[in-house]
Amino acid sequence: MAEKMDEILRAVADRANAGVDYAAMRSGTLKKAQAKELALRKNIIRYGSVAAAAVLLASFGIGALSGGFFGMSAKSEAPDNAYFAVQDPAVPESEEQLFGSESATGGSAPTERANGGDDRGDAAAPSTPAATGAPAVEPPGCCGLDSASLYWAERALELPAVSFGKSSEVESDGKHYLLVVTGCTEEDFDAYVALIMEMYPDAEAQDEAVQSCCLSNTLKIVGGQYRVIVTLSDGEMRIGVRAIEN
Amino acid sequence: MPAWEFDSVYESFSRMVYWTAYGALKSESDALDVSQEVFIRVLRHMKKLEDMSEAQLKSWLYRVTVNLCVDGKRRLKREVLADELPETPVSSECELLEPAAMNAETVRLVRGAVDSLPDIYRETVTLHYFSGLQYEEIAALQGVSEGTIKSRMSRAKGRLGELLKGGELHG
Repeated sequence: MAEKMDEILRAVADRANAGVDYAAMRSGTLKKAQAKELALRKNIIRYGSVAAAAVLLASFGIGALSGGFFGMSAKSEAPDNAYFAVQDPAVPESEEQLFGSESATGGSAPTERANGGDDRGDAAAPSTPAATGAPAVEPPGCCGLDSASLYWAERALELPAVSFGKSSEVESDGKHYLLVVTGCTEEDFDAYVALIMEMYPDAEAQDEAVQSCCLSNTLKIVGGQYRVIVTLSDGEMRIGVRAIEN
Repeated sequence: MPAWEFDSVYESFSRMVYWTAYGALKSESDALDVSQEVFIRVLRHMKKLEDMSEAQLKSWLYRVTVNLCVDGKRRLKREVLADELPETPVSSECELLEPAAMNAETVRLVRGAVDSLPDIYRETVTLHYFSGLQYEEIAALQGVSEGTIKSRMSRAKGRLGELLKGGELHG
């Protein structure tokens, strides 16, 4: 009978569990983790020093190109680039430098005077690139995804920020949202799924076929209103969201 | 549940992780490797995991484990759908050996029979008996209903009964 099979399986499972050395598995895990961390630190030191040297060389080159070393006119030779523009001491960075501060001029800046602007509003304005006149430049290598959460504007739905990958493309309309990020690892995949679950504690895993070609996770969020499918294949992670229409 | 720490996560879920990996890979050494990799990831993501509920953490661990198994072998496929395996009555009591009388060879045979089950049944049997999870917990992890799990278990037992009856396990 089924009860007999049940007993047999329990007895076999108990014996099997007794044969697993969970303590040794734990200590092995900690050793492996330590070894991985050491390897990572070595890589950081190795490649970090190379990167630092590259940055120094680049800075040196920029300084040379901007005229300091060749006696060129900084104003005339400075290229049309935000980095050059803000780093060149000869070029004013902001309106304040351009027109002089209030204390220096004893009144409003020329633009304020010309526009009849509100002194309080201008004084309180944050020092953004727009405010300082310098064009916004995205930090290299992170495709501008390092801080803000993903946001499906048409549905006002937020997903965790993507702080990994080399490049990305996003498309969305009222029915779907898709972000494709290249240069991703399995760890990025696992971490991102964990972040979704963290952001949406009611996330519900869906039954799915495990595919041999890629990693795939499907979650229902916001009480089943949306289906999030995260896949990873050949380093390309696709984060897709669809509204579930009843 | 207070904030999770590595030790409490390991204590609570190492059995589930190991047998989930074993159920997928059918190899003790591979299951050990995957389990260690899973807990290395736990260490790495501890900050994100520490405030999860038990169900969330269990689900995360299960998915990470399955994903690692899939990636490691690139061959974990659902071989047979649940409906493809016919319902088989479990062998009658007299045909099966007394659990108390089992020796090492018998244990090996039973485990061999479990290993030979199609993936979907083997995973269910392993999660229930070897990991010690209840049907409702397995259902939540696999994203199916509790009834589906019961049905799979019934079919798996029937199949095991056949396999063991055909072998040397009947007394």
